[in-house]
Amino acid sequence: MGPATEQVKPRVLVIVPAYNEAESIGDALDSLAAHAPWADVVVVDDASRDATAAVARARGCAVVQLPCNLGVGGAMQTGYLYAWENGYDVAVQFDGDGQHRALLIEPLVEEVVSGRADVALGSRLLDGVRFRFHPLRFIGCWLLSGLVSAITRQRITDPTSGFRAVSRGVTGFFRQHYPQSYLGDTAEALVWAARQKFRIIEIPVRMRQRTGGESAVDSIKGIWRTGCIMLAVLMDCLEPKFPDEPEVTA
Amino acid sequence: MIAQAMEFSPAQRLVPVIAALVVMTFTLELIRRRKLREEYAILWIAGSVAFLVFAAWPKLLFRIRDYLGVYYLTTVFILAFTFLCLVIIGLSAALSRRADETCRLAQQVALLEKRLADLDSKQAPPQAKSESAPSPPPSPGALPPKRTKDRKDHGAARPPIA
Repeated sequence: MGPATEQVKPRVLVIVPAYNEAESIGDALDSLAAHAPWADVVVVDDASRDATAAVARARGCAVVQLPCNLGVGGAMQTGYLYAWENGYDVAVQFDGDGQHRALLIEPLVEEVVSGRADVALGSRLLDGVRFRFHPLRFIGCWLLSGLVSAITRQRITDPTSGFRAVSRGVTGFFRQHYPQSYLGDTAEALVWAARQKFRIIEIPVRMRQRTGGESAVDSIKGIWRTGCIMLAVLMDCLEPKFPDEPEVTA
Repeated sequence: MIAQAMEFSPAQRLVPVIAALVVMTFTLELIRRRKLREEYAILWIAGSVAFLVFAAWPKLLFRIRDYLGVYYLTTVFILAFTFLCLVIIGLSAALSRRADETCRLAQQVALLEKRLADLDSKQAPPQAKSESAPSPPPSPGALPPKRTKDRKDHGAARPPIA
């Protein structure tokens, strides 16, 4: 059933953007090795001040070390550049803080490999999945998903999920255009991809609560950030569509 | 509104003109020494020209004052404030552009460094390399992989670098 057992092996790259996650990234990489050994892993170290890169190297992972901190968006784009240059068919975003489960990469990749979608998004809120959200955060997510759903003209329940697999076509697009806004990269990237007519599909996933590192959720900050993300997404609608580049689809 | 026929003393006429000339000379000198790029300098040159025009013909300010129906000083303030706002917006735009370029550069540097490390580990065995190279960051291939069972084919599956 696994993509690796098929006759035509798609080459899958798991991109792990990491910033000061030396405590948690080891477990994340171990679970990747255990549950998705058929995929290559690249850790994009976003100029961490701790031993994140050393921990990843000690486990034999490819590590790309950014010389200065670019944020998740810049780090993810580095991963997409790496995936594109090295000819990977599918690129998976997988956070190093331990909230994503390596076991669930396979169904995500399956959606992309089978050609059903260009972007497969792991949703925490799709039917049958429960994720404990703070009530305020729930409202923020509800507003944001409504906005993103309206723009992409399809139901997106969890636009801020950073757990996703994309095809080579999307990798080519993201390597050139990827939103850099702080924490808004996930929702904005979806909108950008949808505007380029890439097909998006959502798959229910379970996520753990974060095991280490800095949590990005705080009620006041959360409201502020949700507002920023919604503004960024709204501004995206005003921007002209990126021109289709012939080499992207090649 | 009555256009007050304000009389200026020689000093009142001269000081703004000198100030305008100083700003203009300073801007041009910075460009000449290549310390200020032309793209940012245009606004300053335009600003100093406007400054000079108003300094040389202060009656223009009375016209604008009468047109807007505000005080003389308010007119000066509005003009200066508008100019400074334009400069700041221009700087923000320039800064954003620089940030995008820095981001691109950082990404390219990181990817090239990775390639270089891969090449190094491929070319020279880790022991022989220690003398020639001062102390490069340890390349992934040089370290003994801990989880050989899972990771053995990991490095081998990595594509050759074009």
